[in-house]
Amino acid sequence: MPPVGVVLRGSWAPWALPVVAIFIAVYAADSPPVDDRYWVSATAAGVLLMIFVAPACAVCAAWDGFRSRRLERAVGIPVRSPIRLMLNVCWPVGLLGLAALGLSLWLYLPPGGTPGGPEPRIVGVFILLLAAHTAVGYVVGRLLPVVMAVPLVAIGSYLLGAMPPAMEPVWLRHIVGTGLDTCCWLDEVPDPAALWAPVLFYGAALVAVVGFALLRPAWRIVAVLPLAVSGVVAVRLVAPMDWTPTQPRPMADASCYDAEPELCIWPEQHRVADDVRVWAAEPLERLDAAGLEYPPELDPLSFDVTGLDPDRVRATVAAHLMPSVVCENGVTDVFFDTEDRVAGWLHLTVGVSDAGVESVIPVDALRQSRAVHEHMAPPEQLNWYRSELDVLSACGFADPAQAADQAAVNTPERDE
Amino acid sequence: MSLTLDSIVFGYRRKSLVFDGLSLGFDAKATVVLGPNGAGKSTLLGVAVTALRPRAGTVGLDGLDPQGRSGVRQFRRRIAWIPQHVTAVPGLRVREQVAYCGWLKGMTRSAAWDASESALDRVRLTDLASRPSGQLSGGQLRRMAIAQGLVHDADYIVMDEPTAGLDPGQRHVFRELVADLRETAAVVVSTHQTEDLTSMYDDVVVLADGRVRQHGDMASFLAVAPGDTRPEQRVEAAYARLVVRED
Repeated sequence: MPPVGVVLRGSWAPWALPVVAIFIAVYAADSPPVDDRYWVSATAAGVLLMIFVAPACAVCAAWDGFRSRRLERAVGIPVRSPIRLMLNVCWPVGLLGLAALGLSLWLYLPPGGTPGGPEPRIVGVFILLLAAHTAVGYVVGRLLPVVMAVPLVAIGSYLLGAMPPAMEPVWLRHIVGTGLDTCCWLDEVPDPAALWAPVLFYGAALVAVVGFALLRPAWRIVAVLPLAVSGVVAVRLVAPMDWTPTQPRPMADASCYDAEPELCIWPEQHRVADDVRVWAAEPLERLDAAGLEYPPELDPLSFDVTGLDPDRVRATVAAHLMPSVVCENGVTDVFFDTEDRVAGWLHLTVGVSDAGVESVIPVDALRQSRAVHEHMAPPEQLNWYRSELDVLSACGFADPAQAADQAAVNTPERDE
Repeated sequence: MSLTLDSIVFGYRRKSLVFDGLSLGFDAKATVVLGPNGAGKSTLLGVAVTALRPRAGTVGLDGLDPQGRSGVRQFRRRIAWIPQHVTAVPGLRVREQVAYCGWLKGMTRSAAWDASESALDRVRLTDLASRPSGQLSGGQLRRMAIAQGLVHDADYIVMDEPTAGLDPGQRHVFRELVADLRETAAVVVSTHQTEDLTSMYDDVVVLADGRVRQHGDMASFLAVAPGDTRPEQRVEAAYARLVVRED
């Protein structure tokens, strides 16, 4: 292997590094993760910047491809394999990608004390993404004149990262890994399909590059076959997914306390577990006075830990008291209005502050909820609540027959 | 030592065959391949060093068959190929480019770096060793290319038109270099220039239209010239007679 200094001096990667670093720092300052106290979320936010680092790697690799072609021509009949030459010439680009990845993860580091570490599966996907962009850039640099190769890979690599998130069908964004930008709230984990699809796609691109380097020119078309096959498999994997590449976090991750009520929290919430238990018990008396039963258990709280306060816990209790309704024939506007009124009343009943209620309940609905809460006696409020539940169970339909049908469906679901 | 081509059939894609059953052996210390432009000299040498793959026929070096990855590597380690067109590699200095080529020929990093110094010394480029290779003149580039070929101590040094573009002074340096090289390796050079051949080479191959018109030692080549030719014109006369004879 030629001296480090020799390889570095000829590479564009050392020049690209400060530019990439500045870009990452500026971008990271403006794009917080979905949940900054959750490693999965912080990792996803950090690695997603690699979509914009990949074009830099591809451009540097295209330049190296051009240089390696000249080196091979100089020797004419090299003994070292094309792959060995590629690795030897491109390692500064690999370091550029890894440095950018490390910087990006560091900038999105969750606060100290957050349990866990960077999500290795997500990091792995994006290392593969960088490797694939680098390898393809290198091959293009070998095949085309440098004045064509560099702009071509810069534009192509950028578009591959930037365009699919804005395009239909949705699987396009998942297959290139950009779907992970909405990952993940505390009660979510990445859908394995959203991780496997880009692995297949970029992995096959790497295999194609290796095949392209090793096969004779007449057989090079064969190198594209794995890309086509795994592209089809990847599309089938992510085809059922919507915009969100997540699935519910396994309850096994949560810890449940035998408290009154039973409270389940995620590991990230452990440091405030005692506070949460106290805050969750506070609404007991209020609910008792209103004639409502406390929910038997509180599922893991999905909101971020940073914003965890008594109001958020009370709002979660209110949310658990909302009925679960199945509306097979759709719903009417009445349903939504009623749902807002009921939610408002529940928030006020469990003691959520004015500011807390106003942030989640529409003004008109809140005015009506507040009128019920402040001007009716507790038994009247309970009757009002039950009549509103009937409306919800009927999915907002006023027609007695339809209402009865929906109510029959929803009776077992009513959570009072 | 013998570099042999046996029943070579070669053609570029969609073009007619350049060679159709060509057989040839290079076994002298210094052989020159003569022929007009388009005769197939570069193609012949390209096939001989495995830079080009024939459709049929075999190439061998002292019984070594360049088949399979391992065979090709062993074969190529023993041959230095200096192509006609030489280019500088951006970002590399002269000695670095020579050393890099040594590494590409299978040498270790330190061995290639050490060997690059003596290779540059042999082509008298030591004083330019630390200059960016892109700043070399055409003649200096060609000498650097020869140094790239010398760096790994090959048994066979095959050069395609090495004197093209060299001024008389540089050609003089090249003659001395060939004299030096043949002490340690066999040299095969293609050219269409006929000066100073008799003192430099032992064997002559004359190629025209993809066929070997003459292959033998210098004396048999010169014998082709008409008897009344003056000594200093015998090479040119023999060459012209061989190339023009069947045209």
